[in-house]
Amino acid sequence: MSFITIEKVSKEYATTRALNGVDCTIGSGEWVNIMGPSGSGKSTLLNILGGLDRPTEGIVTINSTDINRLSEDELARFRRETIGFVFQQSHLIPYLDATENVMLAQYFHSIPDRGEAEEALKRVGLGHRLRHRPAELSGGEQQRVGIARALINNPNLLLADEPTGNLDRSNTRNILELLKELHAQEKFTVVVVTHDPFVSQWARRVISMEDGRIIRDEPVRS
Amino acid sequence: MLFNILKRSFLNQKRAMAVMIVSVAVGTAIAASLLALSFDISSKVSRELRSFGANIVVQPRITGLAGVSGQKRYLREADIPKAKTIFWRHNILGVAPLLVVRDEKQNAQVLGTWYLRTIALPGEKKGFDTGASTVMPWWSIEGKWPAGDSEILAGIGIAEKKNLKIGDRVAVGGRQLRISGVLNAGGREDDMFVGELATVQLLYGLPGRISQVAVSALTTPMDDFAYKDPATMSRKEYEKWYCTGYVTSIAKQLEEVFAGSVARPIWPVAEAEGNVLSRLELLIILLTAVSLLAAALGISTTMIMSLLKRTEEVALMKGLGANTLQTVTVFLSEALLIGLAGGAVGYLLSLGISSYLGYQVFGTALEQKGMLLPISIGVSEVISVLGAYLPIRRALRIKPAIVLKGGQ
Amino acid sequence: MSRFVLEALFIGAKEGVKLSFCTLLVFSLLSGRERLPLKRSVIAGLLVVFLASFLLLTLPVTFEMREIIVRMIGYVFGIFFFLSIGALFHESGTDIIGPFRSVGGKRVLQIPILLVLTIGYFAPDMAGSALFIADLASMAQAPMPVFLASGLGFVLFIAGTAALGRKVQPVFPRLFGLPQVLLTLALIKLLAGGIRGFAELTLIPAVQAGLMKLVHDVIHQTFVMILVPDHPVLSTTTWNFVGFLFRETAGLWLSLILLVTPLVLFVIKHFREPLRYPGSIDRPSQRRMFIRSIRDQRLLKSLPVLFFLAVIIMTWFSQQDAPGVSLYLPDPKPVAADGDALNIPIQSPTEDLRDGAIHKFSLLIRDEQVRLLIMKKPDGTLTACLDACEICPPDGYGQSREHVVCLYCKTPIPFDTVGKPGGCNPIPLPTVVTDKEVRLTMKDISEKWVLVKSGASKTTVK
Repeated sequence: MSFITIEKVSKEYATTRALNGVDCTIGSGEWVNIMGPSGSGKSTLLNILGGLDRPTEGIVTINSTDINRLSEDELARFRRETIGFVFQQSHLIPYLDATENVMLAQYFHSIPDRGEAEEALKRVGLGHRLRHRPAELSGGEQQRVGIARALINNPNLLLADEPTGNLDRSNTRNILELLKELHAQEKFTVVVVTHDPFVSQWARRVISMEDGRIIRDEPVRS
Repeated sequence: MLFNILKRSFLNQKRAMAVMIVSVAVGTAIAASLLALSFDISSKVSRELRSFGANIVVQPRITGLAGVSGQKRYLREADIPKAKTIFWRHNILGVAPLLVVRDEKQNAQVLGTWYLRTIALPGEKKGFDTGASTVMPWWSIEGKWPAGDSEILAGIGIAEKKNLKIGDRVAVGGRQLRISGVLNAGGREDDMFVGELATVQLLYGLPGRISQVAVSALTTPMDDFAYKDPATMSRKEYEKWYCTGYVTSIAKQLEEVFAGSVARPIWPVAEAEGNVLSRLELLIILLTAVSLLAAALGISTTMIMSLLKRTEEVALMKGLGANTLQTVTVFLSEALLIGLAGGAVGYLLSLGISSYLGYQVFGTALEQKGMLLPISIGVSEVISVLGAYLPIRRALRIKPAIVLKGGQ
Repeated sequence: MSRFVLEALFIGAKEGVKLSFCTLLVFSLLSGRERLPLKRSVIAGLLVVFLASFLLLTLPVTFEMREIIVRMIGYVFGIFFFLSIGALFHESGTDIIGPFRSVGGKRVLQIPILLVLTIGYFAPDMAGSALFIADLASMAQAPMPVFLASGLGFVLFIAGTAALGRKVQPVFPRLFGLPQVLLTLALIKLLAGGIRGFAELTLIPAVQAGLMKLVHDVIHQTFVMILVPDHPVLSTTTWNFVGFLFRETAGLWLSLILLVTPLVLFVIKHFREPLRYPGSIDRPSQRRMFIRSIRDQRLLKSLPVLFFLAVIIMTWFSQQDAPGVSLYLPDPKPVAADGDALNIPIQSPTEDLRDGAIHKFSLLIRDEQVRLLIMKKPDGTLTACLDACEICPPDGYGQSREHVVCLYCKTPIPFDTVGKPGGCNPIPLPTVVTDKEVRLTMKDISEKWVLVKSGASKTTVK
């Protein structure tokens, strides 16, 4: 039984067709990279998977839930219990410190727990940066806080949109190594959107998109 | 956590928060002081208006042929102290006897009254000061009130018509009297000669007679029960009516102590009171509504501005799985906190404003009601929540996908 | 339509709504096939009450019956209130059932207990309303429309509430456990148990007065036991202190505390209780979700309790301003004259005329009850008056803070002017005050009493 099933999914905006009948399945615990030039529809697909956007046509089933049938509030619940997001910008709240930024995710999920949040930050190597505001952290460190926040509620699915887009090579390597380590421990499913072939080294499978279609879907030999 | 978000959000947008709190506070302060004013106004205004004259007049009862033949009837001056013996004696604020006679030679009316007289009351050490100066306090006299029985006042109208000045002599009641002053009463008295009651009685040979009594009484506002005809009341109802300080029941009791009299309320005064009050209340309601609306608009615009800066934050909250209730909670509690602070500040402000208003309008401070604190806070909470309505709706419409992807 | 018919319709409707809502509430606890016998026993109880109140309609109404019913409503409130508190604590883990557990679990016993509780709960209200309707019918020109209207209101509103309630009923289990149901029943009794109108919260003053009297009596008895009445040092200050406790507000506060404390304790305990995690939780996020769900559940179940607290506190204080309730109304103490002389001691073991409260005495003059009022004026002198004025019917006076209030016309009279003759003032009596006693004569009293009788009719002369 596959974890994610995408059937004939299309998405039309006012003038453009971002997705054009995408079919795909992703198994539980997989690490999949979606690659393609900008405008290929890869981010739209990711947003639909994360319940941030709804397809115009087609069915998306995640963990045997048809997410199109969920109401806005059910979708919100689905997001907080099943999905973790990592964005290109870390999107940390500037006036909260690192721990509080992680606790924010706990707060919307259930209840905040400072100890647990600090523990999560230590796991991403930020034990010495617990009380720092985002502005006092480097880009790589900010992204680590973002990862801690995305994983704090033990999601089954981690969605990352250009997670290393703003980082240099060595930071990119560090972040991806960290993700790989956490992936090995927690066994969640990872979908990463990127246009950077370097990032694909960490994936087990790469899906390439162009003009809203999947043009290639192949495993990566490591 | 919510507390943390709120605390940081407050500290981070000090200016916006200050603007919102101030606008709520000002709105609330205006509303609260107007409210304090209207709490006080019924009693104060009615007392103010009361001092504009009598609200009961006692006249001789005209019976039988007397009415047809035009024969003059009089009341007895000696009955006047009895006005302070009725059940509602403490509510009688002033009594003035009036004797009006027509002087054919002058072709004018002559009015005799007390200007200021102290009546001894049985069983009380202190007398009761009364007379025209208490019942008609708006009378203004240029010159002096007549001293002795050789002086008289001329009303301002008649003084102009006949070109009379202070110190002139005028023939009234067959005697030459010196004009000691000119009376400006703004009423019928302006066309009369006005003198001390005893003088007028002497001049026209009516010792101890008066033609009517003007009474100023503090009364219970009329309600439905008060308008019932006493004649149709049951014994119990009648007793209750008699025991209540309606203007009608006080009049009834006055009638009982003045021999051969009929006492009736002067409705125009009472009605004017009602009109002025309701007009004032309307004004107060309008002013309150406008100031509250302004405050709510202030909140609304400031909050929308601050929300625009925080779009990313809201989008992130939604991305993290905040549902409608949670998103609303964050912004609503912000509004409620602003309301609380604004209400408290507004209440303090209103203390100042209302005491200023009180001194301006009435010459005394308004009574401070403790009730106003919870009312102010309640009002300011309502304003802030109303003001937050549009911003919250806007926040709920934010699409996280676009914002989060869009980046800088 | 006459006023009586409308009122009867209203009373019927009120009983109908109350009955069906309470029944729905109870039934929400008794769902399921195995509890069918319990449901039946509730229905049986209702039928008994219903038939009995029909019988009551035919009986002549006396004042005592009404008194008894009000008192019964008070007792029922008390029983349900304390049952609910017991259940609250039981549910939150305090074992207060203990040895009775084996008894409580037996169906054989549950059925009769439920039957008795049902009858006990509904009977006083229905009886009270039946009496009230009988009263209305006797006042109306034609009694039949009154009876019909009440019946119509009853049936219509039972049907209405039942239909509406069925839609709402699924929500009940989330809000109401057994303790919440009991508490709500007590609340309904307190607010709508009155046997007159709906808005007249007749029971609150009754409960309030009862509790206040209890508190008062306990304190009084304790202090009387502890204190030597004529102690040279202690007496005045301590008696003043006791006097402070006797004030209406003290009783008000204490009775409020008595009623509210168990509920507050419950709420605190409810939230403080440690969690027991189910074994299936292995991730921290699951643990947090579990805590959250328990917290929400607790909050939801506390809502009826918090609501009850709010209602009690609000009504308690809203009653303060209601006329007749906040007035201090001492019972007149019977006294007898010694020949023509009536001497009342200033200080006795149970009473001090100088304590600032009004004191009432009653005596018989030619088979007529005459009440006296003795009190200390602000200038320190004692004054004695008849408990009546020259104008109103002799209903007497009650004491508010700084004035006495005529019970008939509600005119407040400042303490300063008590003792002056005339108007609405109590009729003063010629008095001689010595160190030990207040001396009056029967001659004066009966002379002045004539004033009361003639005075009341004097004003009706038009």
